[in-house]
Amino acid sequence: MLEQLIPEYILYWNAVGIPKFIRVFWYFVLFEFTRYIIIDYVVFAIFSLTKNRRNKCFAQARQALFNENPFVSVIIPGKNEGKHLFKLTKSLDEQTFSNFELIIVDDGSDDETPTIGKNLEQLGLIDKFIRNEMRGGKASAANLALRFSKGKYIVHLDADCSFDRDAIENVLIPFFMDSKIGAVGGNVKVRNYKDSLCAKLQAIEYLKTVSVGRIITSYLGIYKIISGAFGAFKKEAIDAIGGWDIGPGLDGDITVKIRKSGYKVYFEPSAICLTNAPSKFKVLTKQRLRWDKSIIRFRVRKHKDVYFPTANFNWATFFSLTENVFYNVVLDILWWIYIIDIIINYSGSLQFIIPMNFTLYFVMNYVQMSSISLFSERSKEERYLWKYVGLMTLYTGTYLRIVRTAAYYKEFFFKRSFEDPWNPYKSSIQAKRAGL
Amino acid sequence: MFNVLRNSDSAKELVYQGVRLVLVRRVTELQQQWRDYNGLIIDTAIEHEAKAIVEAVRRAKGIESLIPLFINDIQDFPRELVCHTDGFIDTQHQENVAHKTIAINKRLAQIMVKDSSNFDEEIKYKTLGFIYSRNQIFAPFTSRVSRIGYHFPLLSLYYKNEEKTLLKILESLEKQGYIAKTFRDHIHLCKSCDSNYLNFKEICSSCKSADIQARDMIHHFVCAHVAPENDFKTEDGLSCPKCDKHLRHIGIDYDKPSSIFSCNSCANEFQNPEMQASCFDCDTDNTLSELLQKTIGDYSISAHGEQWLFDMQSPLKKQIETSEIDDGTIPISIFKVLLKQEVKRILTTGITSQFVTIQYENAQFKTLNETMQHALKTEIAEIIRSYLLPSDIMTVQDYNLFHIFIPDTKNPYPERIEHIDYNLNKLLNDNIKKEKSPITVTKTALNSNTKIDTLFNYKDLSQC
Ligand SMILES: [Zn+2]
Ligand SMILES: [Zn+2]
Ligand SMILES: [Zn+2]
Repeated sequence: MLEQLIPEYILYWNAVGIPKFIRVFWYFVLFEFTRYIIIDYVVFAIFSLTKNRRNKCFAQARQALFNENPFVSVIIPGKNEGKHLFKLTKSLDEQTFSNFELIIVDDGSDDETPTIGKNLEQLGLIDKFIRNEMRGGKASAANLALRFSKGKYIVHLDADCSFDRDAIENVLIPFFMDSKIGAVGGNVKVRNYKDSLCAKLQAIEYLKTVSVGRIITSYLGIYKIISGAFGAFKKEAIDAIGGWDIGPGLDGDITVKIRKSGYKVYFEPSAICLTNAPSKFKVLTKQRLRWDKSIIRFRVRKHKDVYFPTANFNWATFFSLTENVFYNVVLDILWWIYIIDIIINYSGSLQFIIPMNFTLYFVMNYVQMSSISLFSERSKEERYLWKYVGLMTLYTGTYLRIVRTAAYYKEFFFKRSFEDPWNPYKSSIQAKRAGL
Repeated sequence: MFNVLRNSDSAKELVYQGVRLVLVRRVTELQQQWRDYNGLIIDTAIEHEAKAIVEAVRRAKGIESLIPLFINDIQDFPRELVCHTDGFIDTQHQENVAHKTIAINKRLAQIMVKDSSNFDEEIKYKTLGFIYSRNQIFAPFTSRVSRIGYHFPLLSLYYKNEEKTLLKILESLEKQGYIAKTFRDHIHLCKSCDSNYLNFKEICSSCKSADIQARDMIHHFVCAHVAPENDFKTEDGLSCPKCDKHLRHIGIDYDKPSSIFSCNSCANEFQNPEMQASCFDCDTDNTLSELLQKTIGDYSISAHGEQWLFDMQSPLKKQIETSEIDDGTIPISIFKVLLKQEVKRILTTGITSQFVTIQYENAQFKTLNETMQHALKTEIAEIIRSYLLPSDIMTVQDYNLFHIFIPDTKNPYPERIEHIDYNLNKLLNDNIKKEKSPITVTKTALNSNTKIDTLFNYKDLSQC
């Protein structure tokens, strides 16, 4: 009676025994389960145990921040972002930390941004509005802002983001917990998750990898990308490395550079920033191709030295990059090997393997979502997303994997990122020639 | 050619076609009699003297102050002075001056004589009168002498250093529809002293210092470093402070995407300097939005403005306008009608008017043929006419018998009649040798009892 309610493939896997189950689902068991389930809960356990100590430490650092009240430069480089600027200044007006200057760099906008910027500067809502008539790319715009920043800390933002009232305060606090911290990443969440299915899936993805993923990797000291949407840097640290290098993927690049120069990089989950995610798959695909190419370009190629025992060798940096490259590049390759393995060896049992795989991922996604809500301060609102979690198997397991594979292939063999119109041609050609 | 006449006080006079102009060398020569001429000619090389004459005439009360006023063209004066006059004249060849004088006087004659005790009203009256009588565009011109950079004919005589008030008067006249404006220029004035003598400069947005310097920004492509050119300057050219590479080729290695100002007094760096207008006259610093913006226009008188000038004018004068003929006389029939009306007016208003008859006699005149008599009559009429005011009315009864009617005057023997008497005698005596004065001048005060017909009962004197 009961057996009739259970699908046939479950009964099948129940009957074959654990060794064969592991043999067939080795990819899931070895990588997905360990990383996203076991580590999550282990870290959560440790977090819970150390909660009081961490809270005390955080409160002390907060006090230290307000005692010193350092001058901070908030920089926003961008092209054609004029339409967001007024709202942004209003959002920043509400911040609990207020000793900052606001510097906007207009990277050759061809819309009404210059007019808006100059007006806001005259009204005193922006401290400095600097415009480059000729576009130079995101890195050069950020560097220009950096050149004119007077703050002890630099907070880098995207113009279309909005912030919790204590976001800047919270992103600065880690600097007062550990003087070796050179950069702090903020917690970026998707604001427009109600727009479309594409945005909803990204909202879940952000919660998983961007938020939780970064809490964990930060805790482990291997946190890898400070989001360009919301990150804070010690001025001396960022000056020492000469600011940003040519992108795409400059966020990850500068994180590595800061690590390499001997600073720690930290993730602060309570510094919350909301951003708009692409609401169409076409746009999302373009964005992901760019991000994924940059892993090859920067982590595999430009910073390959961290993998070798040079004078500057640092285990945290090594693990950070290795973890990143492993979980992205290596696992991507392994996944294809897994597919081939299954097709060659188990093509006769596909009717049992495919539904089981989906079931495993389905269950894992919900278990993972539970761990997210343990960390999140917005868990109630995020409950809205729960009914879409089941689709994540298709989204991360299939769609993103195909995009990633395509990106790696293009970048690894053809260095396509140098042709990305995201950067002006004049810069890309020079970067390619210099082998950056 | 003008006939050159000499007065007893040695003032030089020019007479042409009945137009009588007097040459004035000093303001002290002016006194009252300039009102009896058709126009004045400034004949001095001394600028302050010329200026004093212009001011004395143009700032005098009433419409007479708008009398044609010329400058002898052997003199040279600044435009700020010339603009209040009717220009330069060549005293040797001047037919247009006579025409111009007549034209101005004719237009002045159309204007209601009005005694205004209110200063603003007087300014309005004279401004409109000036624009109307000159029958041309009232055009201000650029001038460093003026605080606001523009000088205005006539009005600038009244509002020296009070140009804002001057502009207000024009604005208000325009608003009331008396004059029409054609846009000419915008001017910007100091917020505290209305001066236009301003120094516009870019200043530091932070400390307001003008000691700022613009520098090019450099973008090094390969490393994405961007900074002012100074950061890149080394002894042997440009080199990147971030990556130490040499910058060789603009467009290939680097470019200059913008420029930025740096302040030498507070080290502030900024792209959008503030603009400041410092006043040379009072040292006030104005931001651009603080400056007072005013419009300068060219003005012309509107139909409404002309109407205002004519209004309340007695119907009498309107008829003069239509019946006036070239030699400045009107037919005797009309003259009688006007006279009757005047007597009626005297009856109701109690004013006093004068009636003057001029008769000259000489045996030789009788021998002249009709053409010659007519020529003589025209010549004499022109001379008499040139001494009269536009409001005086004259008719010719015979070639040697003239009647003049002077409305609204209590003086039984106005100075201008004295002048006519004197000058006609002089002229005729110069031309005909005779010991006895040929001129007889009879004056009668008109009153409500005057029998008009008796005024014209003149016997032929030659028959006595
Ligand atoms: Zn002034
Ligand atoms: Zn300054
Ligand atoms: Zn460089």
